[in-house]
Order: sequence, then C-alpha cells, then structure tokens
Amino acid sequence: MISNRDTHEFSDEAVRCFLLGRLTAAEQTQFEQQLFTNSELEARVRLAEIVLADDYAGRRLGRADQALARERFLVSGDRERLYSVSQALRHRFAPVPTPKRSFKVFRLDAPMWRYAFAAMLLLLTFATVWRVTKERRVAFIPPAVPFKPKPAPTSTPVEAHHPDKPSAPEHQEAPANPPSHEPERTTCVLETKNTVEHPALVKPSGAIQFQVSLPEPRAGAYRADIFTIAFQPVFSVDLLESTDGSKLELTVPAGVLKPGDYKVKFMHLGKDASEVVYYFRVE
Amino acid sequence: MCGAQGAMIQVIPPQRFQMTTARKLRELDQDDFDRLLRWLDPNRERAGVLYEKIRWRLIAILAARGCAAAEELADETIDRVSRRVADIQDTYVGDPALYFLGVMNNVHHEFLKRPTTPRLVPTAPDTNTNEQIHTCLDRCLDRLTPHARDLIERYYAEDKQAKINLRRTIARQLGVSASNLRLRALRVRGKLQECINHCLDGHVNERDRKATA
Repeated sequence: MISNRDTHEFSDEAVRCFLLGRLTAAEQTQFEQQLFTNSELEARVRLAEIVLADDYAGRRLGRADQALARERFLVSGDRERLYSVSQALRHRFAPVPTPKRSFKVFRLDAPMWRYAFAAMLLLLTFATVWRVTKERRVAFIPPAVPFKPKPAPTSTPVEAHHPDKPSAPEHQEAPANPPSHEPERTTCVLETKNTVEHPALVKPSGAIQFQVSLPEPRAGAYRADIFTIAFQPVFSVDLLESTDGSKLELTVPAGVLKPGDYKVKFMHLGKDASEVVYYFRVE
Repeated sequence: MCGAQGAMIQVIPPQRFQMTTARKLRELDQDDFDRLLRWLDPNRERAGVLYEKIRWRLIAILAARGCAAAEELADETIDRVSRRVADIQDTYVGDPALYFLGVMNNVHHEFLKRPTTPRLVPTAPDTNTNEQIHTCLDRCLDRLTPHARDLIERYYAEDKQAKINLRRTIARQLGVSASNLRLRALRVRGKLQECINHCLDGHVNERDRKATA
C-alpha cells in the first residue's frame, strides 16, 4: 500500500506517483478528495512538484518516468516555468557537464575498439572455419602407402617380478596346429631318362616337387634346368644339394609350367660335370 | 520527510489577484467573479488565495489524469462554478472547494467525449524567454537573505554523487537531518519560484503594454 487509509497519509512515493499519473483509479479518487481538503497534502504536492522539476531538469529520472513527466507533468504554464527555473538553477550552480576527452586507451565503449573487437571476432571465426575444413580434408586423404605393415606378433607381457618357478603346477597347452597356408604341392617322381615313358602331371597347381633318383649316386651339388621340348629354358635352380648322393628334390612353381612336354637336366657341379636328363609332361 | 506540516509555501501578493489575462478566465464577467470570491471567503484576500489554490488543485488533478488541456479545463470549471454561484450560494452546505471537484469531473467527462484534436508539441522556450528567466533569477537571488542564498547555491551545486555528498555535508554543518535540509531548501526554492513568476509576469505585462502603445 502506498497510503494509509486510516490516517489518510500518502507517502512521498504516492505523491510522486500522483504527479506522474501512476496511481490506480481508486488511489487517484482518494488522492483527489484529500487534495481538496488536506492543506498539508497540498503543500507536499507543491514541494514534490519542485523536486520532480529538478529531477527532470537534472535528468535523474528513468526513461519511463521521463516520458510520464513530459506527458502528464509539464502540462501547465506554471509547471513549465518551474522546470525552466530548475534548468536555470542547474546551469547557474551545477557544473556544466562538458564532454571530457578521455585519454584512457582502453575505453571499450569507443567506436574504434568496437570495430577492432568486431574485426578480431571475424578473423577468429574465419580462422576456425578454415582450420576445421582443412583438418577434414587431410583426414579423408587416403594413405600414400597402399599397404599397411603387417602387425608384428606381440609377446605376452610378462611381469618383471613374476617368479621364475611358479609353485603351481605348470599347465601347458599344446598349441593347436594352425591350418596350413602352404600352397598345394604335387609330387612327381622322376626315374626314367628316356622320352618313351615319362610321367604326366594333370593340371598341377601350387608347386610341383620333383623327386629324382640319380642313376649314379654322386655326392655334391647339382644345377637343375627345365626346358621345353624345343629347348626353351623355363626354370632353373643354381644349387641343389643331394642329401645322400642318390636323390634330389626340386620344387617348381606350377605356374611356370604350361601344358606340354618338358625335360629337366641335372648337372653335377663337380669336376666331371656329368648330366642327367629326365622328361615329364604337363596336361 | 517531505511532509511540510501544513506550511504554506506560496504567498500570493494582493496586487497579483486582479483577474489578469494570465488567469485565462475568458468569458467570466467581473460580477460573477466577485460573487465567486465572496462565496469562497468574505475576506477578499483570503478568497484570492483560496481561488488560486483551487485552480492549482484542479490543474494538478487533471494533469494527473493525463489531460493535456488541464489549464483550459480548470478555467472552464471555474467559469461554470462562477455562473452557478448565484443559484447555489444560499442553499449549498459544505466546503465550496469540493463543489469545484464535482463540476470538474463533469467538465472532464464532457471533454473526453469530444473528438480528439491533435495536441501541440510543447516547444522549448526561446532565447528571449531564457534571458528573462536568468535575469529574474539573478534579481530574485539578490532578494534572498544571505543565508537562504547560500543554502540554495550549495543545494543546487554539484551533480550526481558529489551532490549527495555535498548535501550530507551541509546538513551536518547546519546540524539538521537530510530531510530537514531538503525541506528548508525547497521552501526557499518555492519562494524563489514565486518571485521569478512575479518577475516574469511583470516582463509579460510590460511587453504587452509596449505592444499596445
């Protein structure tokens, strides 16, 4: 409540509200009646008029009150004079506010700094966008090396303080035999040296292992050469070791052997340079 | 406190109460006006004071209601009451001032029913008027007692926080509370205003007289 109905006393705020036309309808009616019968209230309103004029001239009112004072207070010649005298007193005795030239460099309300901050924010934004775009581009470039190094088998970490001889019975699991990834191998035994009877290999794949029984066992190293029947060299091995001097094993990739007749020559790398020739067919 | 303990801050000199043009009673003839004053108070001086107070109240109320033509409606109210005084003065019981309030309500209601007219934007006082105000201010400041002048000069000195601090200092020096200091200063300011109004009216009357001559 801004007034006490029992004593009909209005607060200073109520008087100010009356002058600015901010009382409610009920309060306004009560105030009007009191103003016509209460000399004390009238004197207070007159003083409040001076204060309001001073505040308006000194720009000490809020924006809303400033507008209300213009609309509802300065509506009579007497009040306009009151306001004019308030202005005159202010000009006469109060210091005239001159626009002070500030020497502070960091006045954030100065236009220069506003523009500078705006430019800085723009630069930061552009830099961030550029950087993010660039990082994405780099992230999507495929690696220059098309293959990845095979992962090296890593040993199980062993605790440094683990005892060498555990007290618990050692449990050893037999490693499961991994599936063989070796290419399929065809074995061919070469025993005859003539062309009449020679073994035939049907659609060999993977590798062909020739097992050769030497007619004259001779220890030492051999050189093996495979030719077509028209003496076109196909495959050769410079050094073959005979395990016991009577047998040789030669492994040839099946891919180098097309269907046809071949001969394979084994030459002893000793002093006599003896040769043994065998024939085989690939179908 | 702002309460003035019923102090009368505006003392209207008798010579001012002459129904000048400043009072803007347009169609009221002197007989009606004299009858009105007698109805208000048999003593003409007191009646004049009462008349001014009633007019001021009417304007204050109409302004608070948001009426842009507060002065015109107040004068219209006084005009109507003056015409009715001859009929009611023998039978009316109570404070005559309250009769003005009732008539004012009627006048205001009628005003609100009228088609709205564009309101003139108040213009700033011209240079001549400003000069007159400053001349009258100097004149009226000189008429104040040294103590009152010193008080008003210091009361209106400084701005913002410095003003608040200065007023605290003045109150401490005078040994009074801040509200008491405010009351004293405003009373001096009221007298100053009245003096300036009188001075300005004199300027206006003089200007009118020169224009007529």
